[in-house]
Amino acid sequence: MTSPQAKPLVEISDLHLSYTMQRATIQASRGASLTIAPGEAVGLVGESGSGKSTLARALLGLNDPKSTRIDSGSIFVDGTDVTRFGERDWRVLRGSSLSMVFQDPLSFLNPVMRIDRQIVEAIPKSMRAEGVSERVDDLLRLVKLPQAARRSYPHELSGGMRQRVLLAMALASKPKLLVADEPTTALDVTTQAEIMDLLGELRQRLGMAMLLISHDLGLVSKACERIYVMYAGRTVEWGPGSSILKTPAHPYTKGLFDSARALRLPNGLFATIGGDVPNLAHKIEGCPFRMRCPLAMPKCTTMSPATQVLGQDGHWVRCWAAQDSGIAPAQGNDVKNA
Amino acid sequence: MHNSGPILSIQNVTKRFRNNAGDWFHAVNDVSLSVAQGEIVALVGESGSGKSTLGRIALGLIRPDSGSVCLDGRDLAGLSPAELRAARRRMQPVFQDPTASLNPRKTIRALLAQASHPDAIELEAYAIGLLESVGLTPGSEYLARFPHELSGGQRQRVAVARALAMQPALILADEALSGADVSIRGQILNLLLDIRQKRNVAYLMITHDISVARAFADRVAVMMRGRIVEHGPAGEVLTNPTHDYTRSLLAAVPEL
Repeated sequence: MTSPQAKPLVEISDLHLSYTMQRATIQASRGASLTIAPGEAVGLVGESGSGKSTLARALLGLNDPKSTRIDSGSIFVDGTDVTRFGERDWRVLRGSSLSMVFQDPLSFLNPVMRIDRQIVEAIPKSMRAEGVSERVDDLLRLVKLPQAARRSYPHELSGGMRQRVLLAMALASKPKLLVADEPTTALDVTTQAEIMDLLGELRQRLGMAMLLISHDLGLVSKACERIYVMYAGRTVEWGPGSSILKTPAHPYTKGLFDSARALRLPNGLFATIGGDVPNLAHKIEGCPFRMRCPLAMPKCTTMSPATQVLGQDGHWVRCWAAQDSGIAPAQGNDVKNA
Repeated sequence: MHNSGPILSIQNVTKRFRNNAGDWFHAVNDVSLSVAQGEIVALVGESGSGKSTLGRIALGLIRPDSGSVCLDGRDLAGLSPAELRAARRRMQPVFQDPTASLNPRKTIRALLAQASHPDAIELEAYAIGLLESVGLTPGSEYLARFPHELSGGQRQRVAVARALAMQPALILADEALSGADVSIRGQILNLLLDIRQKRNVAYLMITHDISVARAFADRVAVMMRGRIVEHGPAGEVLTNPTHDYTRSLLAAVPEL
């Protein structure tokens, strides 16, 4: 499904984006690059504050245009430069090519409107001509909701069913890309597994691409063909999921995956990354990870790492210390590394 | 207090609630569970399994319909109000979201003073000692700060320091790490191990995070619809489960 020759559906190149909040300017994207091929499942991971959601919102045109500015770089969707799109252009694009689901379905559903009407409203006007009611039936069947759910109100449904409603609404415009930002974080593991299975099945059936944003690395690794790792507003490593998992090249990626595995080191301590993500209101010279990095060297303070390719399978990294063969095992972080 | 019996012993505890339709249902159904000094016990299960209700019963916040909760061998039901207050100090909760559980208008100094054991003297030095024991060094630099001036990881540490202020024998962590990034989660787990080693504190950890329960706990109890369906050494139960429910739970977790 992911031929590297195919024209990308999404191409974000070296995006720099900032927004103002309480008179501070937050530089939330500082060199983010990401491509998604038609039909491809791509994962975006990183700690909170790494700029994942801002990047996703930039791709969907959902950042507030009054406070947000794209400083440099570009976003192309389906061959069109959307970098300078206005609200009207975005609405057209979101009604045809792009859709999204988020963590908390309840806050996106109208509490006093029955499910079927909400799904009808999600069907673009251009597609409402032929049998709207049949279309609602199709969508409900697609997300495996019983017909009885048609006449329900959101509060009458379980969390998993609400997420299915949101998914039906997202699919109503037959999108080429679904952006799913923490879609299962609020759900129990068994419900999560059902929703993820459903997403995988729908992608196959509809040939739809997906950008999955999650802090759950296990989930992303299972669902996605390629993974991007983001740190301090920039993409620092990306490539095929299997390659990132087996031979992470960036010390941040390695720290993130070791932490996620709840790995106990030989000294009995849990693998972790010391310290905190940097404040994105401040300017950062050199590599933004160097303050927490076990492999930092003098060069990292002064020079931003260049992007280098590892091997043949499209695995890239931005790190001076990264070697083709991957990096040394993590060092135990002292508990006092606040 | 220095006997070798369990710190916390829950025996045949049952608690029923009425649902919206007015029907009774068992939130906790004939459950027995104990925690020894310095032991880490994880309670896992999905939402609605009764694990948080059991946690509240353990803390003496909810009275069970039947069965007993014993702390240091004494039944909570038989204690006077003053004795119950003293008993509650021995068990301290740490909750999921430190932003919500720490009063935003209070400085760290005030938050810790308020939570300190009545016998603690020289509260300032006591608070500094607590902060340093959770890795916030030098502690004096944190006293005048407000929760919002700290990072997420630092707030979690303050929440742990506040629980330690009462010198508890048991800390009940109810999804204490659920919202945290994996890097912070590792830091806090190491902190909890460090505290256990230095103070011999026991943990009852309520969590849906199977990988943490497996790597952190000594024992695990798996709850489903108010009952413990499987119980044993954490590594064993969460690697080779015997109950179908535990198996389905493990199968649903995407492993790395």
